[in-house]
Amino acid sequence: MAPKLCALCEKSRAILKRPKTGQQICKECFFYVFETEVHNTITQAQLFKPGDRVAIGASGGKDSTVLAYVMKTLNERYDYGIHLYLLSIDEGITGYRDDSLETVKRNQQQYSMPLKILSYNDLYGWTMDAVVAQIGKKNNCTFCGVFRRQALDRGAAVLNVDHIVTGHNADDIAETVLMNIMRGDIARLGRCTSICTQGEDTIKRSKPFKYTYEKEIVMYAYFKKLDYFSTECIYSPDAYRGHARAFLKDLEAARPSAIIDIIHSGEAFAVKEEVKAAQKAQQTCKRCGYMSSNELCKACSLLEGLERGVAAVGITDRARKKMDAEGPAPEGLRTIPYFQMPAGPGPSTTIQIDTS
Amino acid sequence: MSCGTAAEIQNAQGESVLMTKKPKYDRSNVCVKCKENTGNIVIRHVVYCKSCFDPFVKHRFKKGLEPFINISGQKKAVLKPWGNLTIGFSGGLGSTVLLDLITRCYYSSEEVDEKKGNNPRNDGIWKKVTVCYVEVSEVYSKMPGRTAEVRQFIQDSYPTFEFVPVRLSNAFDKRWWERISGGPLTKSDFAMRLDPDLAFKLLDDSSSTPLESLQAYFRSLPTQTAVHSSIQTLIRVLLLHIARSKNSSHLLLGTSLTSLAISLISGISQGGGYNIREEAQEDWTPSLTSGDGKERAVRLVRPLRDVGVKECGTYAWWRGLKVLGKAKWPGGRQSIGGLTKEFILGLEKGYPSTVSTITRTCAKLVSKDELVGICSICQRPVQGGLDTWKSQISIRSLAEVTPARLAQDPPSNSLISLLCYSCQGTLTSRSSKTISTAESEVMVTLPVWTQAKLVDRERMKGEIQDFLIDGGNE
Repeated sequence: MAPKLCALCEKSRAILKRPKTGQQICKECFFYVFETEVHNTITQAQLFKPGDRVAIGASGGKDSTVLAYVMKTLNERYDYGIHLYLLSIDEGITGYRDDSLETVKRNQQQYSMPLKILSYNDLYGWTMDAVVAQIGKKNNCTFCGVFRRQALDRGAAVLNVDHIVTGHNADDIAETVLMNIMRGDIARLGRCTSICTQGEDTIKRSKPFKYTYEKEIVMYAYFKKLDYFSTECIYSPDAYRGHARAFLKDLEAARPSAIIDIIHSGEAFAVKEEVKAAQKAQQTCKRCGYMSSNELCKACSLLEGLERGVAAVGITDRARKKMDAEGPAPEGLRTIPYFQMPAGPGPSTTIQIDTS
Repeated sequence: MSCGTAAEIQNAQGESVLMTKKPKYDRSNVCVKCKENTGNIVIRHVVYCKSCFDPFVKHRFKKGLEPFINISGQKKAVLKPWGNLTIGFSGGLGSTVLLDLITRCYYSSEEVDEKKGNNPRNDGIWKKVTVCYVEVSEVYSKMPGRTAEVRQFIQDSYPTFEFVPVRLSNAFDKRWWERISGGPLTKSDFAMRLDPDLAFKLLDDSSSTPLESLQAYFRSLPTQTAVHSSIQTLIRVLLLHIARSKNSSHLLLGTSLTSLAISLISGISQGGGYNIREEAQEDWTPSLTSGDGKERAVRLVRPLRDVGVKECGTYAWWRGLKVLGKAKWPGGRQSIGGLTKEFILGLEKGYPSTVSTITRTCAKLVSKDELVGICSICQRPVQGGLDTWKSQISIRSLAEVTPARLAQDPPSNSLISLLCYSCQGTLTSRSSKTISTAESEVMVTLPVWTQAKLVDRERMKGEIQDFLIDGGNE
């Protein structure tokens, strides 16, 4: 039997079947369509302008490693004129993050990009190992997620960048759409499919892999022989999200277009205006200056609970009430340093970069 | 050796050695309504006794129906629909409970107000009630038909309601269509090829029977998901046409809260986010005007959308209702609908509020983009810019990369522009295991209402033909 020819160039031998389109194509065409689709996403959404300082949220995993590689490639190929940085957060998970950070450090050398690593220990005075030692494995993802979001913004402020790009892929976004519907998180549902989010007090964030299938990211890394770290977090027993992820994988197996179809659905609906009007207005945390829905932001609230030995304070109302009954926060309580947005981009800004 | 029941597993002192079971209620086992009786059922953490459960279900049912009876949408003391009532009956639990509640609340002497005497509603809000059953067994060769059984059940249990059986193949039956809608069709059939362009043409030879057309249509569908979605779509549209032919202002379906949550998630997973509101309730206006020249919308309501499957089951059990059972379609576990059902029912055990959260969240959403028409197959709104969106997110040909190609419209003999995103996916989206494209070469006959739409367009094109340049390719 003659080898199947690539459905795109019709010249070379097809060696893979694209999960996204079902087409059988050759390696070179796969690289071309993969990169061009990301470029199309970037240009359609007008994510960058020349001179932008852009931090890539780098964990050492497949998504951020491929993102760093593709961003560098596209920046050179299409002359975006942007300055790329790697920004990593060290959650302090022994046996997981320390190993993955080694990968990021190698990526720094391979892609010649400046790297900044910020640790939870430096920012909050707690590592995730210490958090888990206090609260147990249940709900620890709440702490990690809340702390990471702030940490990236704080890291971006240190780097004085005006944009963070993350490696969230199509599978992540589809999963988030389903999760937000099932949890009734209408505020997040309204914005989770946006390619770019920016509030008045936050640094612009975007997801160039919004329409890129996770499987294709793995394929790209595999064929390009990229160096990435592929171990699941040792503290990730988020059962509910785990159900949603397993469900999404089943849907993808039944019909691969399900992932893009869910994103399409998420983009096609919006939250009713009257519901939006009833939502809490965003304010600034009185303690750390970060954006918040309440007087205290979630990170400060969680941190206060940890410091005062009532770790469940950010998780349950009962714990919150218990802590409130004990009186106001004692003097000398360790708090997160006050957050300030970057002063503005400029080549003259000097930053301390890790080169180790 | 017997394994023994939990009660039998005891130590030497006769004490149970097993952990005490977790109570099914959170705080108290006393009914939350009357606060006297010991509860008999826990519904999402709330305890009800048997005597309070019945009014609870009736209240939920009426709340899900009565605000939508008067078409103006205004709350009125008098419920005044403009037409008759059609009820879609599948034989399943939901539609059995629905029929019982409709009869009890609006067509029996049970509802007597002690102060005001007999409730005027007992005369029936709708003058005439039609119960319609759609037979789906034709799609599967080994599935036995159930029309006779359902007919007997309706005639025995609800003798005052008219029973109308419909076959799924009626969706491909021109004579049925002309009788139901009066819309003209060509002698030949319009057929489409299930390729990415969904090209259609008028067949030279169209001697197939409706049953053959139906079976060819389902054989050509690319996935189990497509088969199941198409059955659901055809059932819904057939019911809407029957409702219209019976001059009904309302079509009621027995979709429970659980089923609604499943169809919402399943619909979203198939790209139906734009029609999320229609999934819960829709006003369907037939494309052809009615005899008196006025377009009258049939309102599809799901009055059990606040009553979960557990409550429906308990209601049917305590009321002693006979449930025929819904026909099970083969291959369900491989379809998105089947997987969603399995997922939601599994989740409901550990997280009982999930189904209610899903429906409440979806009720807070509206369609975002501009509506450009009504889908020729599922009869739901179509959003604009679908083609451009698809070209932008995935490159399917190297020629597509040019901006000129991105802006190009599909060819005029393509159904693409007449279909919603979800129906496009149903007809073209393949499974990861599909390699062969042989089936996509076959032309399959379109459902009669889709053909009617094409006839309409051809007639319009004929009228403006003299003014079109180069054949008027859109």
